[in-house]
Amino acid sequence: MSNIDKFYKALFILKPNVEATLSTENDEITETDFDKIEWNTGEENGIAITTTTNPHSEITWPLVKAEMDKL
Amino acid sequence: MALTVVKTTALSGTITNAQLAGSIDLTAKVTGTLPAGNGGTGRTAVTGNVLQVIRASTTTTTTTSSTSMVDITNLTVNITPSATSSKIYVIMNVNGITSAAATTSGTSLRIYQASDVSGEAINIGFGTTDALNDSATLTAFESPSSTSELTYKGQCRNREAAAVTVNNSSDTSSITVMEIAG
Repeated sequence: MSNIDKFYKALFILKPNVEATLSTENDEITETDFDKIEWNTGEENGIAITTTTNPHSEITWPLVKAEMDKL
Repeated sequence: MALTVVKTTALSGTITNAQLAGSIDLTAKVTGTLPAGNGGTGRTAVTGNVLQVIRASTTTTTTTSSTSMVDITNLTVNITPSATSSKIYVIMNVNGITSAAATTSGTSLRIYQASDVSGEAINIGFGTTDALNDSATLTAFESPSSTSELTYKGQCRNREAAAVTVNNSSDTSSITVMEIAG
């Protein structure tokens, strides 16, 4: 399983169906990548409205990393 | 003994091949401006000529669980048409399209400019359990009637809140725009 697969599985464990976009230059996912995630907050004309300010208090980098390490 | 006859009076009318007696030195013996219609300087573009080409490519991996369209990172180009009559031809090639291993996931891609959807592919990989590293090429032909800068970008989404990826495994995706004289 790739780190990207692990990352999204970890996200969905913490919050099912959360909508987010991650951009990475390699397979290794770091806290820096986590901080640049575009989180969906809504939709307008079929286009996601996003923010890089994490609106989900139940999703933090330490929790995501911990879940990834279990996979 | 060879005899050379030199005519010193000006010629008028059309010069015949016989009068040329060989070839003309185009570098030193021709003056004036070749008409544009004959390929000379000052030539203006005719319909169908490619006036400019701009391309962007990226190896950045974009992964999203969004069910509404999001931009594919770095798959964006700007072009400023030189005339309102120009057409814009867009070619977007997306590689490494990978959906979650579920038959209900499917990646949708599109070319987007302002509020205009120019080309779209829906639910790539839908119905397969292992949609891994697919490729898609989308094209669009636009008549923007504008000389302002236009931004064309690639966008993607999943049909459900599960992860889909483009540029999986260090692939390269690209978007190319051409201004075509209209």
